[in-house]
Amino acid sequence: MNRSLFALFNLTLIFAAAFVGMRLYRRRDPDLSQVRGSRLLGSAARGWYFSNLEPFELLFARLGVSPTALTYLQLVGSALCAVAYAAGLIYSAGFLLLASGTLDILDGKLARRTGWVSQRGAFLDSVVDRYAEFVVWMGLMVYFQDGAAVWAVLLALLGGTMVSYTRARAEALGVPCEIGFLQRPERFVLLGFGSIFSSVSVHVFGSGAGLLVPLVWLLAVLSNLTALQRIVHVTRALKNGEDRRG
Amino acid sequence: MHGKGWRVLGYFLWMVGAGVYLDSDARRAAAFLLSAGGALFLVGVWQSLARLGRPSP
Repeated sequence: MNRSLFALFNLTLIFAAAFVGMRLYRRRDPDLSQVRGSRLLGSAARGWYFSNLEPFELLFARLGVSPTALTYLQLVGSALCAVAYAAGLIYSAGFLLLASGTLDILDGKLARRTGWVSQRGAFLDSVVDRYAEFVVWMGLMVYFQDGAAVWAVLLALLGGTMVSYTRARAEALGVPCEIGFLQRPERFVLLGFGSIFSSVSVHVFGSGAGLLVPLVWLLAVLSNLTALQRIVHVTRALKNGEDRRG
Repeated sequence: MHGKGWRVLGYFLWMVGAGVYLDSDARRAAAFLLSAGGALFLVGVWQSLARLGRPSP
């Protein structure tokens, strides 16, 4: 089988596995009241994805793997993803990004399951998340170094950092801020699957960066809009609080 | 690990193999990963089907 045929076959397989898995999951009528969804990633999609991680949660808990180890492993995965982007291995980079994002989910779930939830772990998780995200954008920056898309990568990096910073600062001031169209999981899913689709499109339709350039521009715009959305939300909430206090 | 775990692990290996096949010339490594992933996925499906209809413990 040549590469373009395999790329199409693999894309069909990804869709088919997700479609069948979701259908079977929803048929079991799961309780989704505890799963927080968003516009892009609904609670059913998240619930299905989390249900696939349960066997690994149990396995890691039984083996005594600490959530912090998974947090650091996520950083290693992100660094490998960055190397893959820099080397132009777009399909592998997309997959590694999704895998390291999964480790980010898994460390929190493992901590809650084993009762190893701690402020130290939460702090380390947030800090490692920022490094992991930064390193991935660095890899993309190397990949696009000679093109205009490097500006999109810089803008997306700025947007992603500001989305996280506005939430951290707002919560330090006592304002809940889990809002916005493009939060971290959505960024990971868009960039990860987008890279996979881009690689497939390059294999099927020929040379070029495929869908990756428009996707990075889209991420740049949407992540900055999300940061703006949060800034407006928090300033309004703080102003209302000041008005109430007189 | 039971059915679902093997299925997810198989899917993971398949995706790694697909990446190796599409991004490099390491055909043998890709073939090994794709075969191992496919086999694990089928083991997972077989285990899940074998458990169907049994009362849960």
